[in-house]
Amino acid sequence: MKLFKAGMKNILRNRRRTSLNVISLALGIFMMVFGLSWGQGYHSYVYTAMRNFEAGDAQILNRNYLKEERRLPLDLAVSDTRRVVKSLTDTNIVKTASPRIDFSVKVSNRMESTRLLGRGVSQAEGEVTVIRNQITEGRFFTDTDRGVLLGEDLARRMKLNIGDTLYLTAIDRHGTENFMSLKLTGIFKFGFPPIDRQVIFVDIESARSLLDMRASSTRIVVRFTEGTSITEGLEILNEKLANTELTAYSWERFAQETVSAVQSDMGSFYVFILILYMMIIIGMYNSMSMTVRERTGEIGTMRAIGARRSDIIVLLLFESIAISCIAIIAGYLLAAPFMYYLTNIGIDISSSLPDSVPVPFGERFYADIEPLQFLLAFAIGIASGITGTLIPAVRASRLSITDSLGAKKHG
Amino acid sequence: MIFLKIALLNLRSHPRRTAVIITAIALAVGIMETVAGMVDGMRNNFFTNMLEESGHIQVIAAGKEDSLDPFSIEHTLDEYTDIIDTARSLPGVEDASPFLTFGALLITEEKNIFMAGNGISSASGFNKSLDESIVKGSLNGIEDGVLISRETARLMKLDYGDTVIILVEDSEGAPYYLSFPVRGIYQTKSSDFDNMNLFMSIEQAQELLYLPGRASTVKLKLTDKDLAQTAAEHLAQAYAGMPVVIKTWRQIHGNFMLLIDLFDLFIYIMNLFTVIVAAAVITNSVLMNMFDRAREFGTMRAVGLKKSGLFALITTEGLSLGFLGSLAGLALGIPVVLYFQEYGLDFGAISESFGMGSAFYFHLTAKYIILNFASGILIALAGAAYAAWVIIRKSVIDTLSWR
Repeated sequence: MKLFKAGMKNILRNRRRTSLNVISLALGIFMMVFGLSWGQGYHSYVYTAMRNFEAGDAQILNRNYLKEERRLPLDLAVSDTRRVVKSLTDTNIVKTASPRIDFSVKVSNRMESTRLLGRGVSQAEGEVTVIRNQITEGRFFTDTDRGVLLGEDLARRMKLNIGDTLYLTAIDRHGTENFMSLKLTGIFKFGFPPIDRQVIFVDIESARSLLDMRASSTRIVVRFTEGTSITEGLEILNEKLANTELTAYSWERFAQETVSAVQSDMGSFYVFILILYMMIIIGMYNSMSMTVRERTGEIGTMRAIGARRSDIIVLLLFESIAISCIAIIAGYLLAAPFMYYLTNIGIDISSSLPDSVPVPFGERFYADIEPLQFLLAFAIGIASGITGTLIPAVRASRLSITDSLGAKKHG
Repeated sequence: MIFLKIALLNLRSHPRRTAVIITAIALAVGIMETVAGMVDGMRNNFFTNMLEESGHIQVIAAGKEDSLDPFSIEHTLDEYTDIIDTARSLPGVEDASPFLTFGALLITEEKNIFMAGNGISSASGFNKSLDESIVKGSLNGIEDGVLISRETARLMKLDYGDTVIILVEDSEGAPYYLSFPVRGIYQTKSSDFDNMNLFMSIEQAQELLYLPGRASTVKLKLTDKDLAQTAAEHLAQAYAGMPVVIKTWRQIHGNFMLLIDLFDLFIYIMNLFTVIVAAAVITNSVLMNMFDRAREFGTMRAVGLKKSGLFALITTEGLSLGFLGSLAGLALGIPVVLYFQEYGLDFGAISESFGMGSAFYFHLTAKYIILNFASGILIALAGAAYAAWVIIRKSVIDTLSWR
């Protein structure tokens, strides 16, 4: 306790030096907390959104499908979907499995037309994604419904209301162009342009009829039961599918752009933080070296009246820990208003991004604060202080008593 | 000169502290140089790739942009050769070429795929990067055949010389198709681009779509992108009242420009933090260095050195440290920038969404080297000036009795 008190007094003895150390470390702490909560926002919001919007936890596809995904191959399908879905839901790891058919479709309101990604879905789609919650008008399909769901902007642009008829043209799995008219039963809004403006949902029975897919689908989207990890779930599913033409893939395979965006951003952030902390440690090292030199005589006196070498090290470490603590508090205070804004008000990133950017920031992007981020920043702040101090402290403890007491001047 | 000599001697007599300060400056300058190289590379990639494709100005048929279908051929330019002649007569216009884009279904015996068809002129100055990316055949092949990407060729099991059917909805709204030989296979750095685009001559596209003498867009390439506004105004005057829309690259890529501005802001903030931390570390180090030698300064003052002389001595030391640290920082940062300028930094699939391929390349510019070098010197100079200000305020007696 005495050593701690002495350490605290010492940091007040040279306020200017302490202030400069505190400024640099506080900025480091601010950057750390801010960056980690931003990154966590990416993970928790963007990743979750990607899974909730379309990817689910895992997807089961024909093992050759992804090699030819670009042409949306209907010939590389999951045949006898009902049986596969049943065998999946019979396991205790799959909560819901929903069949899907992705296809290229030309959609017309008789005045004008455009080509979209058609997505044949069943009622179970509402269990594997959040589409049911994104319906702003009309309703989501039940298994007996026939119709289509269209994005809000697209519906407005095509001047379509619930109950209006849309005309769909698509090439079926035999290469023949088929035509079908369906009623608009629902309008949705995800706040994610690649879905809102480029996807039309069709009830799966109509899609099968349009594409002559009979009982097939192009993929099955899976949600695992609570407590089942993606890795564990995939392992079990792939074991089960071993002798079939099907393979289970993690959701990440279908959100590569999002995953790469998050990884690139976080990678750059970690490199930046690493260099920033190197500078902070250098500053701390320099500062504590100076402290040791200034107080050589004082250290000699302490050693002469009985202080052990370890006491000297502890004293100097206490000083750096105290500086670090002040800096950490300052860093937290500096970060507080930014964190409040980012978590409660958020930033509208989507409107600044081109529609083609496949990262679901939603209408507003929010950072995600967790106590662990503050604890980590705290630990790294203290560790930086200790790292910068350790060498000068050990050097101070090794000074001989006579040399220290004989030191008349600095240097 | 004498101050510089003393300053250099002092730096040599405190090698550890000199090394610490130089390291801090070097790290700060190194970060700033790397970040500047990255941001400038991003801009450079943007201007090279995106403007290469979009041109600096586009003359578009009125109504086309409002179409629900981005591949609509309902709105096309009638007298596009006249527009090209007018454009070419404007100062700074390097090239003006017609383009006819359309939605097409590429069909082989077993498979079909929806693609963006591009009717282009083989003499166009916009074909440079496409020409360079051809791995089989040649660009001239578009005169009697089509160019498809290597990925499309793989997917559709096609090779050079094979025949494909291209099915479109013509200008009358009727389905129509023609057979074309594959006369070229290309591969660019962007798989998104490769997946989507096929090319043929504009004359073949006009025949296929039943749109003789028409184009959807005329793109202009300028010698300097800053001439775009003036050239666009000239064109707008020349075609006032005609059913055309004239857009500069800023209007075409509005969202990307906004994104780049946002990114710039983010980078400035990062640099600001780096500078503040570096400045705090450097000021602290310089201050300690000066306090360490306070009695030495006191003696110099006692034997007649003026305050201004002392100030000059200390700031000269700061200047020397800044100079050496900045040089070291550039020695750290420039190789990093050069490495990524040569090999690119793989940002994965997200980078492709911005039309920049999977990797984007840094760019080394003299402007940023000079700016970062000057910043490093200024940070050190500011730290030294503050230290000097603290020291010269002390009286000779105070400095002589400094402990």
